[in-house]
Amino acid sequence: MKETISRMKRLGIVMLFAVASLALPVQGQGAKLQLNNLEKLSHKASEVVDVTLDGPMLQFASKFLDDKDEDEVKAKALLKGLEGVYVKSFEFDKDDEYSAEDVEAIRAQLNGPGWSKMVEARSKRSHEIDEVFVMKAGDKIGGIAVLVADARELTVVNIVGTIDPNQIRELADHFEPNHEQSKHKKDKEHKGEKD
Amino acid sequence: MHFSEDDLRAALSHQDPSPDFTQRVMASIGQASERRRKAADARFASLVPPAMLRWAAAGVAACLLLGTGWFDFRHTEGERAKEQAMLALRVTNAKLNHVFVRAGLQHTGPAEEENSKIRKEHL
Repeated sequence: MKETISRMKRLGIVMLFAVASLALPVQGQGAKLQLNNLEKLSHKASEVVDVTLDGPMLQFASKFLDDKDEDEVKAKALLKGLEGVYVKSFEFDKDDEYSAEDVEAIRAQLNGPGWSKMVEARSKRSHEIDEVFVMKAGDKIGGIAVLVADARELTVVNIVGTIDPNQIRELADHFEPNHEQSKHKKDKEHKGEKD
Repeated sequence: MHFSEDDLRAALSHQDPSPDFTQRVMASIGQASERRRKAADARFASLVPPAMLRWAAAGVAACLLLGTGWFDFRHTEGERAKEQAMLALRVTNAKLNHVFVRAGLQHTGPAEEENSKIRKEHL
């Protein structure tokens, strides 16, 4: 009898560990959004940014980041804890090229368990709705989703993986789109001063 | 047998070598080294047949080509992945800034003004 109880206890512990080990990746995976429904917008859009980088590809990419470049060093630190980065951004020449259902399909996922809305900005005048959602993982954040939708633009950014809340601030402060250009401009100006 | 002192002196007296002595010695050395080389070649050929040797050389060349090609491919892929990662971070930055500014959580900075429309890459 005693032996059966101890065997059951052992089995219980093993099952607990198995469930815990399964739950960890599921938490990370839970932050990944299904964005396949947006793919049909590619041919309608005049400008498209489509980035799909999963864990191994991100780690592979981080090996090629330059340790001497300030931005790339920061990017490396950021990418370290990430399991995936997915960006789908469409810009249209005409209004209403995407449907409300396209956005709702994304928002429905973000209204699911784990996600909470961090920021929202709505404008009836410009028909723009901007939202930032986060998925909490203890003290840290297990995922971020940014949804920017206006009459001529639809952008969804989905970052999956552990990210420190301070890193969001970092993310917002660095990696400006024209950072490279402004860097070149500064270099040129500096050169001009020298000449 | 008895040797007289004169016999010994005659036997041990200095004698010049024949004129072709050097030539004969050199020829015999050459022949010996040739024989050794042939024997070594024969031993190697018995161990590794010439056809196998050709295949091995072709294999090494193919491996080198494949290795170089694979290295180039991985490097290109890595650079592409890096560009994609940096682009993703830049778009995220631009969009986060945009939302934070619109939500009144952040003042409009020059970066936001300049980058109100993010750089897009045609696919």
